[in-house]
Amino acid sequence: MTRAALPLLWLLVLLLWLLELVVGPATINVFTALADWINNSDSVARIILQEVRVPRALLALLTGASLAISGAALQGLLRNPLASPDLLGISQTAALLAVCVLYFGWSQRAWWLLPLAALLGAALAVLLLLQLTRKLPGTHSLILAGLALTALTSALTTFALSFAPNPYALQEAYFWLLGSVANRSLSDVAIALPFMLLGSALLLSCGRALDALSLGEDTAASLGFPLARYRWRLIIGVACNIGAAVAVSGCIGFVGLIVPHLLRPLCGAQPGRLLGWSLPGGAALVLLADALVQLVPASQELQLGVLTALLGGPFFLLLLLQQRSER
Amino acid sequence: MTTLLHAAHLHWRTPQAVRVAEISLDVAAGEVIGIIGPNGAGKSSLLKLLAGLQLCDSGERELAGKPLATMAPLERARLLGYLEQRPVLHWPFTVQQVVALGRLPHGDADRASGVAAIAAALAQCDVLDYASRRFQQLSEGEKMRVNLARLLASQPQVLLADEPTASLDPARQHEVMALLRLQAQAGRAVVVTLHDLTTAARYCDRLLLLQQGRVLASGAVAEVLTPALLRQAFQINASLDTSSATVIIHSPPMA
Repeated sequence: MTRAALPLLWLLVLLLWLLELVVGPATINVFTALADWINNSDSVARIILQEVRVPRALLALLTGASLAISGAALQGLLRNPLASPDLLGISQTAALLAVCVLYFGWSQRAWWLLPLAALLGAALAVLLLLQLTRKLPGTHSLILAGLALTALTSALTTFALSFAPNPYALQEAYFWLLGSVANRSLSDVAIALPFMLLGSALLLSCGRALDALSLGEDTAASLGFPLARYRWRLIIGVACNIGAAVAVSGCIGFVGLIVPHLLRPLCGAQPGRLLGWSLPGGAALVLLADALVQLVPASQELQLGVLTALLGGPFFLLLLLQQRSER
Repeated sequence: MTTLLHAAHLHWRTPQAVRVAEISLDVAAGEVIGIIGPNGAGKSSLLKLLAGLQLCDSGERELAGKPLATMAPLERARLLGYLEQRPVLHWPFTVQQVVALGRLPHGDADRASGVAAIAAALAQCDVLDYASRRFQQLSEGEKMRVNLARLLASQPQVLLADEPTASLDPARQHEVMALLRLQAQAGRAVVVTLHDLTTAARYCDRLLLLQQGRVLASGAVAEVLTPALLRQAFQINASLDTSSATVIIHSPPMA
């Protein structure tokens, strides 16, 4: 059953990706649009498919996969089921540095400066949290440390935004921070993809080390997997994924928390195995959520980050209650 | 007998204290060596040095004739198994999954060689019946047997166990030590730290008595567990009854 479920999960991703091409405010015939694209003939349907829907569907897939594998890796690294990039302030620190780059207009100078800034922010936050977990062991201390980091970086981001040159720029940055994959282009996919591929490859190469780490740092080292040897690979892997995801789609919360928990009953609790499963799991969740925000009737489209937070908030509380009852 | 683990003139000092000073030790295949001493004597520190988990300030360490410092972590892990004091498990694994972690150094938990080693370790430690149960649901004695099975699954030549009988009832203590003795009989070298002196007397071939990071005495059980040395190390009036291999404490701890 377990072995068969992984290909099925990838099949679900494919189906949801195709669904993303179909849903949207404008009704188009996807097959006609695709034929126009192949034949290089201009049509409204082709422009909508090429410029709007394909980039959006690709970014939803990539962002979901990146956030989920980062969440799974963080949970394994910190050995904490409540760890996730947004709850620990990693996404927000990445967003702060990205906002600074946007604010100073550096993103116009070189395309890679925005993801690099977000990546550095994410790496900085993971490093800080790793140091804190040594000084403050225990699940709740880590969450509180993450809360403090989130509060600090959010305040600094708001401070930076208050210097926005005009209300339109402020609104744009505000909506970007809420998290969305709408109105993106294939250049955004090109910016994010290399970092996400590198980050995911780095994390997947740490699977056995994360499995060993389930037994604590000393035993992991005795099994031939000293954390010191894998720490940087994991930090850079998470930073690449979160940095790239935040740079192109803002802060989409709770995906890194929810997906590993939903998958554990299917694939088991081994952190190494969970990494490989999180890629399609996260992609499926974000694709589904993004299809839903487009289907909800509203005067202005619901932000993707708002929907994942609406799903993730109660889920997080349930996890906290479950942890308490297990103690 | 072949010396599997060799350590000479080991020194490890932290800013707070001397953890290990001038300790030398050779462990041969088929031997069970017990490291005893009062709390803070340096037993766990020495075991970590022997396992290669801690760098020493000076001294030499060899595993199966090869310097430990030149060995890759995975190569060392295939030869040496280490069971830490109070082993932890952070995720809800089944017993089978815990034991399978023992094959991580070999990377073959899903292949025939790994599956056979895991099954053999489960059977040897008598945990086959609850292989599909959650580790967290087991009693302390069962958990220790599962941890030993995880250690055996990697088929190491040298086994290091840090207080494996702590917090176990007498029957479970016997089970664990008998299992370790069996490993020695099978040609492995076993080093174990112990608090219980009678357990040390019954199951170990040789003892190393530590005090403040240094060796106070080493040798056969009867040579180490003498009233004078026990008084010096533990501040107790005690003696070894050689007929029953029992350490008898004659009076409460000395003032």
